[in-house]
Amino acid sequence: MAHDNSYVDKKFNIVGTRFNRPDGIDKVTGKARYGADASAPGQLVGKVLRSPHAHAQILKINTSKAEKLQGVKSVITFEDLPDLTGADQGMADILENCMARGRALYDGHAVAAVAAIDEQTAAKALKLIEVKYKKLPHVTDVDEAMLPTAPVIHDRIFTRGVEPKPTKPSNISSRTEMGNGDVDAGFAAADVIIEHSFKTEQTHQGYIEPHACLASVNPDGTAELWVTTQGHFVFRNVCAGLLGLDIAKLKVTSSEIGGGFGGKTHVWVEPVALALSRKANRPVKMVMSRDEVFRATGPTSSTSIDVKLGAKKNGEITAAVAELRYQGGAFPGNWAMLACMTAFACYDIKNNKSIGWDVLVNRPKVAAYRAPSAPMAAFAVESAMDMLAKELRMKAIDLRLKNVAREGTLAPYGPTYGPIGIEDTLKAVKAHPHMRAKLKPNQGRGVACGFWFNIGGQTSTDLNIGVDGTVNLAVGTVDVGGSRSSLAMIAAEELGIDYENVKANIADTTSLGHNDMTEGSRGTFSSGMATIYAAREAIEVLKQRAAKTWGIPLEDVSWEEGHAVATGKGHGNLPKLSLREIAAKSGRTGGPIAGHNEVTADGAGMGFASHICDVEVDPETGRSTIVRYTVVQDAGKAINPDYVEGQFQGGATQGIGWALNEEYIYGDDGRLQNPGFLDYRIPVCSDLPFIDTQILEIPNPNHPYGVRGVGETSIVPPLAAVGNAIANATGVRMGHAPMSPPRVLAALDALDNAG
Amino acid sequence: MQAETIAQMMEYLAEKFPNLRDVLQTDVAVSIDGQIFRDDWTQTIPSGAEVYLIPRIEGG
Repeated sequence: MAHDNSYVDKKFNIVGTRFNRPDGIDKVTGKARYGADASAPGQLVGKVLRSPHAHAQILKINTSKAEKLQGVKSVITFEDLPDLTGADQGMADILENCMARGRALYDGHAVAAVAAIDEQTAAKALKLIEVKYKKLPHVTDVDEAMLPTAPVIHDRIFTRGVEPKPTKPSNISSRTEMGNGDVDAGFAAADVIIEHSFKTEQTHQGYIEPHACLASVNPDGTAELWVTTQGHFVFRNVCAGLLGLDIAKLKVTSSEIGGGFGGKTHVWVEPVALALSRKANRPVKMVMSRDEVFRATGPTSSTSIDVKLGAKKNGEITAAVAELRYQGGAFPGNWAMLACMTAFACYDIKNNKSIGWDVLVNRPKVAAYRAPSAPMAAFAVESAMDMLAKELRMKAIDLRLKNVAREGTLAPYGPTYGPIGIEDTLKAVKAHPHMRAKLKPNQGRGVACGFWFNIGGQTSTDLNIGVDGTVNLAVGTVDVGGSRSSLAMIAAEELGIDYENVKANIADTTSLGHNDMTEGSRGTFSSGMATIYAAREAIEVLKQRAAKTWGIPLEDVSWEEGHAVATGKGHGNLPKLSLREIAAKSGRTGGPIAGHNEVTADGAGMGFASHICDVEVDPETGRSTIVRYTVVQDAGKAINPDYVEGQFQGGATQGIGWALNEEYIYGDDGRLQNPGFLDYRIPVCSDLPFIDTQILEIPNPNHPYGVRGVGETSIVPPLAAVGNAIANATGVRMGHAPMSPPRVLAALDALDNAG
Repeated sequence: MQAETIAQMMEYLAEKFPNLRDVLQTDVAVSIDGQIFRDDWTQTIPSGAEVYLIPRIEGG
């Protein structure tokens, strides 16, 4: 049956209300099973030996002593992970990132691994592995890595996007340029020009649950993997590819996930655990320590950004240019290119240009972190907007409204926008009572806006009706934010039954077709769409069974509020049949009743948000305390407002941590100095006030309920919202995030000395 | 260029610019009149539509 994804305005009974998430009780009582909560008979403990050097040739690895240790069942190096990637450089990079192949590329890079009968034996075995390193010069700063004098990390990297093509390799993997109009003419027409440079440091997604898995490979090529992941189907494909397994024979089950935020979209220990298991012919469990998570998974880029804005006296921005330098760790990435797409996306600026430089450094391979690349670009652009507003003596919010993007505006990356919500969020911020709340001494208020694309992707869903009328909904998108509740609500809404009668589960990879990662704010959007269609398929079957039961044509049966109703002439005396009644008889009317759907959910609607931040800066310590924070974001349609608000608050909290405290600190030796939560300071509940939220609903025209993804957008505005608030509180413009107490204090002192 | 679907357009481009074939296969999404298609290449392209090739964004 063909399905139409167009938005239909309708009244909902269940969607839009609030239900407790079905996984809630298990999670707060400790019953929920995460990545480290599986075990198998005969399982071994896997541990990884990691490079203590930022960059080093690995001359020799001698594993013989480790192999001889009693209780050690397998020891592996890259030789146990043969390169099957063919011409796929992206997969080859993943393989090399999981286990060094002759060269250690960052502090923490995996060099070898062991599987032993217990933790102590495994730790002892690691100490017995002898590795001979030859240290090489290293570089960890994005600007330094671009200098011609920088040590080159891969001699196969010749900058793409530069004419003529360079003859020498460098650490610059690509240059991107995009934009519209004529920026020179635009600046020439400007009455006021603002130019500023910004830097942001590297952060980690900071999920509380470390990477963990239980891998079991059999000699016949079948295997199982229990793992904490944002996408078990993608993990299956990648691990099967790297290990030379058939996709259908590798069964991957996703555990509950204790946070991912983009950091669990890639494999690190999983191929290693599979290889150890294959060699030992026993299950292998691997759980990363917090130190390993910081040093050797996928943090964000650190960046260096220049912004120039030009405007007329009336506030119309005539030109905007951004040059964005992003490091992707020790392998090529597209992070700067992504930043170019988002930098000016909230605005209608006829003459704009963004230039992105993707750079390699001796740091871990960067992975996505909620709206990847956008927060840093927004820090720069949204700070510059406030600086421009100040020059123009305009209110910051009014400058944004004057130049806001609307339906019909040309995006900086090319296409014309359909209906978008940025203007609505800015107007809602302007009208919000927070904007009129009184500020105390040393306090300041800042606003900022942000954008994320959101995606759809491949989705497969199964809906099965039990003989008592209760329903199983099997989905393939990992639940990172309460989507099991929202999806059950959608199924209940479509079928016309109570929410409590639908149980949503995340199925393993043998039970459904391929599902893309839960990333890009796609979980509820795409599985929700597939659930609607699967429910409608099931309804067709229910109607057919009713028609058969009554002996009337199918066209004379309609589905209303959970019941088959006989319509048309002569059927008025037939009582309605409930879903439960039809299900009870299903064994005698044709068998189990189900609906199924595969869809590539295109048409994901863009997400826009505007934030208000009140900060109090202690002039003696430079410490900033958030005293009030409001998120206004367009959700299209909030299926369960509790979990939409949760995403707004979570994204804002992570952005605030990024703005105020979080950074990777590398020493001159290229080693990470602060791989732990004590010295890498993320916000905790006591650091922040309750974050207020306002959900706007501008329907996405390409989803039956109008849903837009919400998970990512709200990490984009906070860096600048906080920076603008600090500027208004202190008169100091902070251009280097995190705006930690030492940095703010130094800036305040400099201001005092200048004054 | 005549193309009724994204697949036809991609094939045409890959033949005209062979060194782009790999990039077109994996790294590109298509915007048709402002709506972004990342996956389904059977999608039809209406006559006179505004078509852009843009990076295939993922997310976090």
